[in-house]
Amino acid sequence: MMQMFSASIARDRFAELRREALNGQEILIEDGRQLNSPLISIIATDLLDSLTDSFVFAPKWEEDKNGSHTVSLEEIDIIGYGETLEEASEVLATAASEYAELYFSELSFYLSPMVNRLAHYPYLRRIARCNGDINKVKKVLRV
Amino acid sequence: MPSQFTFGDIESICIRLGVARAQKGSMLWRGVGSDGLYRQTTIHSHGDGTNVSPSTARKMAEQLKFKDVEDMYDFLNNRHRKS
Repeated sequence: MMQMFSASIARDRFAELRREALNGQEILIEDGRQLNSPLISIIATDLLDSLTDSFVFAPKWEEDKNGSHTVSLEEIDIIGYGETLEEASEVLATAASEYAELYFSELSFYLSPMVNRLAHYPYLRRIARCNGDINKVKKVLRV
Repeated sequence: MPSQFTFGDIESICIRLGVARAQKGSMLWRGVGSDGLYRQTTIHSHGDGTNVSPSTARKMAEQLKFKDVEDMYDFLNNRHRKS
């Protein structure tokens, strides 16, 4: 059974709940003033990182007759291209990093029914955790 | 003869679809068109007149929600089309 607390109790016992979350517990918080309000979770970042690590990118490469390269990530609808593999990888990683930054700064837009890109969340979280380091992004993207 | 695009063509297609550079200096272009569809693509140009390679054009056509490259070429040349 998962532990659930009202927001006010969680605030008073935050140090204790944080320790429990670091030990792997997921702590659920409800808004004590509203019935059936959506819950939020406190969960260890390392644990969440491990969980999202299973969202693995599978870049698809194509080479044209002129030797240029195109690479695409269907998981997040991003492409890169260039005259060399290195340039295409760099463009892909930069575009993916820009997308992750935009996504998390405009979450309500990307999660809205019109755009509906919830499925990109775990993949883009992995990119966002690279904090703009393009070499780390390339590693995550496997390019 | 296969459809050929320059980066200038792709930018003009994007603008007609309501897709614009996400931020100043960004290579990510995105937007919601008059048809209500969200589209995004990557434009990393070495100049408006530079040709887009066939594989890249094919992927851009997918991202911009065209049936295929020929459909995107028809859109480029038919100013009456909205999407």
